[in-house]
Amino acid sequence: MKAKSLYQRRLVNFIMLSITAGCALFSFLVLVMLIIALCKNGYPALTKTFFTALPAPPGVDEGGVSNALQGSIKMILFSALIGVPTGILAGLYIGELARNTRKADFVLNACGILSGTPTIVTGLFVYTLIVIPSGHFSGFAGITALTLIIIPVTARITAEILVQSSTAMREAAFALGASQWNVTFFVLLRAVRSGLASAILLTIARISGETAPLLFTALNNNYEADSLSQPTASITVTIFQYALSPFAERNDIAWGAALLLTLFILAVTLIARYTGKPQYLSRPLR
Amino acid sequence: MNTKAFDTNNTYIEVQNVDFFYGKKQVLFNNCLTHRKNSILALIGPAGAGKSTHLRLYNRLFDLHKDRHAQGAVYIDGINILDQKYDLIKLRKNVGMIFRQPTPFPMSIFENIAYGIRLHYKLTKSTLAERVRVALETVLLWNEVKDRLNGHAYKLTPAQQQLLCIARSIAIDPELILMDEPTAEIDAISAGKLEDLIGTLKKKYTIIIVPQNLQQAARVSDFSIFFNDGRIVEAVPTNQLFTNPTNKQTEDYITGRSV
Repeated sequence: MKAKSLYQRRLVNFIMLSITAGCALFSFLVLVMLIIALCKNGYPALTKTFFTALPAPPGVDEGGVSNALQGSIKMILFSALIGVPTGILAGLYIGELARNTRKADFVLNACGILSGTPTIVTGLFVYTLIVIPSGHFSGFAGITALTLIIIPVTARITAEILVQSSTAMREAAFALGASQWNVTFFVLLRAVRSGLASAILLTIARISGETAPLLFTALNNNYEADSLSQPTASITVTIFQYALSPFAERNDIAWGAALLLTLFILAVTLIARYTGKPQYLSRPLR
Repeated sequence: MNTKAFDTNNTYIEVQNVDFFYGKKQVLFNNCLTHRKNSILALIGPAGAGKSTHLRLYNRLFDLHKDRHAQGAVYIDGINILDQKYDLIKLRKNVGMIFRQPTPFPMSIFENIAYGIRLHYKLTKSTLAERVRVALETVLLWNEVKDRLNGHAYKLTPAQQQLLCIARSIAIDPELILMDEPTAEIDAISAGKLEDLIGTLKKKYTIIIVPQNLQQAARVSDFSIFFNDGRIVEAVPTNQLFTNPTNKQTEDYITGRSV
């Protein structure tokens, strides 16, 4: 058996390192180019009018997206308020209270399939469920669609985090004579809360960028919706419609809205990374 | 098989013909033993012999897993705690447990101990604080942490965390304390101190320990049970086990030959 030459081994090592580093550089460059393009085209649009004015008629300057901002904030907020607690409770059931039972496996699989469903399908589902019977698009329908996206994702994340949490800590809490709900709420949930919070923030960042489910449900509105039963504007649908518009000033606003959305998602992601530092990492090393 | 070699007067614990199963696989066979109050019983034997499984009989921690069950009877103070009707919360208030890995909860030092107390007692703020102090003093941790009771328990060293867990256990006033290799994850000097503490705890509590090694069993325990393959091979006063084992298997294990 002939030994491989040292030169050959170094060469292979160098080539593989170069390929992986090249791919990493490529994906990083794409991100940088995207952010540069967004800033260059979007920043000039971010004027005071952009935030405060309603959309102007085509061809007229001085238009803004205040209605879409308000609509997006409302829909994201309400869907998170309903979806996150429901998802966490469902996750607690799957990951702890009914752990390792067939019921829990079934719900976990259902959540897996639901969170993998293309969101446009969720949009269509809510369209047939709410929009058609009520006869019009509405903010409620938009909130329903976003909530249906949040619940399975949150439930699955909660269950997975709980299953990975320390068995010893669980046993220790039960060994003190604590009841199941006490262990679940006061010890386990507490132990995973930072990881859970960051996962939930990421989910919220994800739904903030959703366009397809809102197209079928909340649609759009040139004015500020008085109530959630009216069609409601959102930043993402505005970007979609304005970017396709033949009018240059609308294209500019679409760039501005895209930059705003990206900055928001970037901020949420950074907060999630910061809060997500698992507490056990702060335990002394031994 | 000699399973009642030591003092059966003053019996606090009596295990009668216990078999234990993981699903269909039997891991404990016909375990019988007696143990008296305020003394330390060490469960020794090779890895996988069933020591930790046996230890978890006394607080029925195996109940957390649906596929595990025990047959036979375990009497603590005359009551069969394997009886399904026996209240688990009452049992676990009476039987504390210390694990191999320190298991502080993700809360402050004070809250770690208060958590257990609040599960079982309704106390005023000052009584609660007093009880936390006494528990920490008992495990000799008070002086180290009295100025940072609100600090996070994870900031303590592993040895301090283990002492905190012992304090948390004794704060709810158990009679029996189970210890599953309590010194395995802490440094040797702290382990020595913890062993001394275990020695003093027996004045007030009955202790069953799975020691980290044979030397520890010799240092801390009054009586020893030698386990092999889920069976109790020998039960004798610890000093006799090391100087004069009656059973060939025990002798082989103690002298380092394979069992």
